[in-house]
Amino acid sequence: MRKLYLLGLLCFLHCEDPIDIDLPGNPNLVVIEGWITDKPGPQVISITRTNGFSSKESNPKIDDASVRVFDQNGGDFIYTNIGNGIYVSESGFTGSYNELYDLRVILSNGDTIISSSEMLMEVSDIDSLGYDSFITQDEENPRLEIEVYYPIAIIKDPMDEVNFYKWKIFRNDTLFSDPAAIILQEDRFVNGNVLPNQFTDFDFSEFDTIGVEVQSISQQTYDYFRLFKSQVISLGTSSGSAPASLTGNLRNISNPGEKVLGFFAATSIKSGEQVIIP
Amino acid sequence: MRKILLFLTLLLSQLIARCQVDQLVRFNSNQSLTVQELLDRLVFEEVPLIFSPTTLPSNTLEITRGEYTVSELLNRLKIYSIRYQLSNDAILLSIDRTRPVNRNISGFVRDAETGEALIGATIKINDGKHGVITNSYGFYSITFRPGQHRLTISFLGYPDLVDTVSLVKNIKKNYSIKSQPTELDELVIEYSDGYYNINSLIPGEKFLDYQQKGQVPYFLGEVDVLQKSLLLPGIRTLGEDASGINVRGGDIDQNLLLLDEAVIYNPNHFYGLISVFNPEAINRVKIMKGFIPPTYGGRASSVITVHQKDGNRNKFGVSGGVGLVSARLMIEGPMKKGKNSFLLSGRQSLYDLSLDGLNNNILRRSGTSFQDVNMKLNWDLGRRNSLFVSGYLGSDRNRTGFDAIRRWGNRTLSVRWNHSFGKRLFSNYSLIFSDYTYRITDPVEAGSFIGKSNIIDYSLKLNHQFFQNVHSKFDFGSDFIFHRLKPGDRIPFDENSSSTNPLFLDIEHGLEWGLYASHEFDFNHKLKALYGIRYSGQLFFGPGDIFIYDDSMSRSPNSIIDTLKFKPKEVIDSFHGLEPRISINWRFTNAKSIKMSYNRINQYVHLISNTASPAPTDIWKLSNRYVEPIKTNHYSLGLYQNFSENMWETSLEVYYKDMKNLLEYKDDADLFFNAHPETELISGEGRAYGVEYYMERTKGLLKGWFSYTLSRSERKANGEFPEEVINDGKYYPDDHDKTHDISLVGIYEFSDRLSFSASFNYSSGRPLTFPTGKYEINGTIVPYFEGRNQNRLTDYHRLDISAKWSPERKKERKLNLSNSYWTFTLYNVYARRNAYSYFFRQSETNPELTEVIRYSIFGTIIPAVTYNFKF
Repeated sequence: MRKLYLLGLLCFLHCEDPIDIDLPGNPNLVVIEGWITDKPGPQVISITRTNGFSSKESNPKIDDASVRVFDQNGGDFIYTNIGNGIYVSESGFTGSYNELYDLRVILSNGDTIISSSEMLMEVSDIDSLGYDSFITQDEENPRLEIEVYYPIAIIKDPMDEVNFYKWKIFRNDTLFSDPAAIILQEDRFVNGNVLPNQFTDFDFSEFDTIGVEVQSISQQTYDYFRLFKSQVISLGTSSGSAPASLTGNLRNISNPGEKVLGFFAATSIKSGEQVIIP
Repeated sequence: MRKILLFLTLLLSQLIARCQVDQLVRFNSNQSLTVQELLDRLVFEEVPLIFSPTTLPSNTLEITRGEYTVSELLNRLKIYSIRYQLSNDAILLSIDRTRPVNRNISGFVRDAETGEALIGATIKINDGKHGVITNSYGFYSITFRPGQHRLTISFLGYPDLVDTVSLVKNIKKNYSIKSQPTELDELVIEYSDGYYNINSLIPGEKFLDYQQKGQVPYFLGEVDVLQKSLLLPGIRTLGEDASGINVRGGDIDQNLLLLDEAVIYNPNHFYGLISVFNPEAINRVKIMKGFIPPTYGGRASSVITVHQKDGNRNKFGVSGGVGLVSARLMIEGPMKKGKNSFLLSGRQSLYDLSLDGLNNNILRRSGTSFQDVNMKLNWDLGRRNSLFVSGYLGSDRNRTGFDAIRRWGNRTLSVRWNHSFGKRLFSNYSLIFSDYTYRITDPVEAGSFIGKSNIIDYSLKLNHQFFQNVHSKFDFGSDFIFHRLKPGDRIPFDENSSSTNPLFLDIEHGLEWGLYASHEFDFNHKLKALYGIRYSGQLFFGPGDIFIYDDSMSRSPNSIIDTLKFKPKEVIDSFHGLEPRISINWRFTNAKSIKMSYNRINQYVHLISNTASPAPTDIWKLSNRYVEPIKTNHYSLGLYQNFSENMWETSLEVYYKDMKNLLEYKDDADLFFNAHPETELISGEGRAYGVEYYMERTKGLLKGWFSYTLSRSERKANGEFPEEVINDGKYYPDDHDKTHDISLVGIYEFSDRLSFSASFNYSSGRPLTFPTGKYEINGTIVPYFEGRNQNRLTDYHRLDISAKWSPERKKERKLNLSNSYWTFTLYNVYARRNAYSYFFRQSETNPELTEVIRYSIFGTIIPAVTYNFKF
């Protein structure tokens, strides 16, 4: 009894309260988020601007830029604005493996923003998608024991490449969208091996459908998302690092002093699905 | 006939004189007389003395009641070089003009009951200004003019011991003093002698002691050295959940923490809330922050020496305690009565502790537990030698997530040999082993692994103290530390692990050395000085690889242009530097002094950590060409004054410190199993300055202190390349900069058995970076930051109270638990939610909006009770 009491005591120590701080400042920077995938088009790129942190409005959209993607073989893909800051390629444009892509955006004030080149590398197939389970206490009723399932996705990492992966997990077609659910993986210590990935932080119940997506990403995209996660998840805790301005592979060549936020990335996506049958 | 007459007269006068010499003089009571007074008395008794009063020494003689012959009395003056001869009918006194040879008295001061060495006890001569202080082994040595002298030995919590010694030859004398019957269990800041703070040459030096009836309130009732130090001026921590302390703007790796001379690399258990120093095993703690004598080196900001108890030399004892967090037990006793003793102490956390209440899933909740073992043996080997063996073994275990386990701990073993060469040269030779290891096991695939890292030090220290006379003392010696540092091994968790590419980072080898000499002298009781020099350095040697980088860009794995391979024992990099140190104390009245000091210190090891508060799994690194030694210059000026016969002690100090080669980190620094951490590091500099005011009431039923610090601590990183610039290369306040910092502590002794205490802490909010904008990526709102630490948290304040109660003694009981007591503590009495930081994030309720969240580690009042016993 005493033990339970103590655990209870120590567990409710941390607390979080919303407070009112007005942060109206706005650096007014351009933010680009763009992916080229191996999925059938159209490919999508969004362009927005920052606004004040306390602003109740969503970020301003840029709908008057010229957006083009180039490949190494003279391919020139023109994107069209469909409003809300979103630009789409022609529907036939699908990324090809081992191709290098470059983004070029010209803003209405004439500033040109370019990305560094991104190589689209084919990602390994998910060889098998399964699950395992453990017994734990029910959250509402600690006396009740429940069985919790988690996915196991197996892929084979290619031997002669340096690979970086990003995973997405879906439960019954709903993405775990919390930034903490972005799973990043590198093959530095596991190169060339069969990787039986255990996603132990994702809870499933009987008869749920597990959906898993694996993406190949470049090292710069991997680094971007690593910093993105630390900035969005752990900042402010004692294990958090210092705040950073989080810049990716984009730069404004007309005005080099002006930061461009966001990233442009090429990725290959494979997916799998599995229903949990006890 | 005339000749005969003359002869007879001569004979007669000789006889008269002889008679005078044998004449009896009676003293009806015990008296202490100066030489002059004694001679006046003899003249009064009609002894025909001839002497010159102006040349008499001013010494005092103790004369006990009784009858003495004149010759007996006069013979006692021989030690003052006064001789007598008979001439005609008179006694002629002459003073030997040759300077008397000074004599020495030396020995140890110990507790009468336990035989524990008393460190920092004062020994005063003839109640005057001359005095010495026992060193860290309880040893003293006084060289003084011959004669009869009164020695007063004082130590806090003990009544003064007065002894009269006849210093006609060199003497060896040990003093045992009996403590007043108080419960000796709590750490309380005190000085051994009323004027110690005025007299000490180390401004900002503090003793944390075990001596008082009351105690300050501690978090969860756990008596803690480092927690207590935070109530002193100039010592701070980032927040409740942060490990380590920052002293006058220094980083947490800049404190030299010595446990019986062995370096402790990580002083924390349980997220930094409890330090590794088990109070049960500790004799005395000394904190030096304003000035560091040349004896110490290697850490840039402070020295904290923790001395373990020797153990009781006379009888067996057991003491211990149980609190909400841990249980402690200590056994001590003689191996051979009066000659040697042992001490063994252990501490164990009682529960799997967790501060992580947010995760409801019990399997994923983090948990922490810890253990400590302290050991000490000591032997008296004759009059000149003593031997100490002490050890510490600590281990922590922390589970996070799904069975990922981190274990870490310090291990130390030190063997020390005290030897006195002759009377005045005291030496201590130490051989020390110190190890800090961590191990991570993560069984979750893919990439399940075991990670290991450690730093092992083998040290040899040769320290000498030469007590020339009461005005002058020399310290000299050397120390050598061989560091063997394993930055990280990563191996497969088991044979099924997909982590088949083990990684063994190069082991770093270094020899850190230091040679020092210093002189401490007292010039006419007014001016004291300690000056000296330390010459220190480090050899960084092979085997190992050094990467050479393209210097036209910021260092990164892609800018490596060459790799230099070094053979075993081949010197890769070598650093050395002179560290002048000086401290001057001008005591212009008895209770008032001004202290000035300067020191330079070089530091050759670095803690590599880019998180707000270092984790136990952060690695240490030796200086090399990319991570140059930290260099600090520290200037300090203080005014010290006591009032009402030392009831009030006050001090006002100003300081300025500059620091070079501090480490900062690039934005996305990945320091884990990194073969070239230098690619993630930025070299920065820092400066810190401030004013510290301290006032303490040391006597009476109400004791306590007030401390106020007004300070600024800043950093600057302005490297050659954009990645190496922080805040546009301008100075910015560092993370632990708190402009105002106030502590108010009161301990009230209600009765012998009951005391209350309260401590109040206020400080300005620490700096934080607020976002200057927001944007959206991947469906998540991302705060945009520029600049660093340009904003601040709200102010921090907190009140803690505690009571200490000893139940009534029950004499008829078999076990005499007379020294047992309870403490009751309330931490954060008015349950303030002090901000540890703010979170700037997407609103959880409305994803379209942002929110600012105040994050508090302890948002509530925390009660605790502990029981302590001793028998």
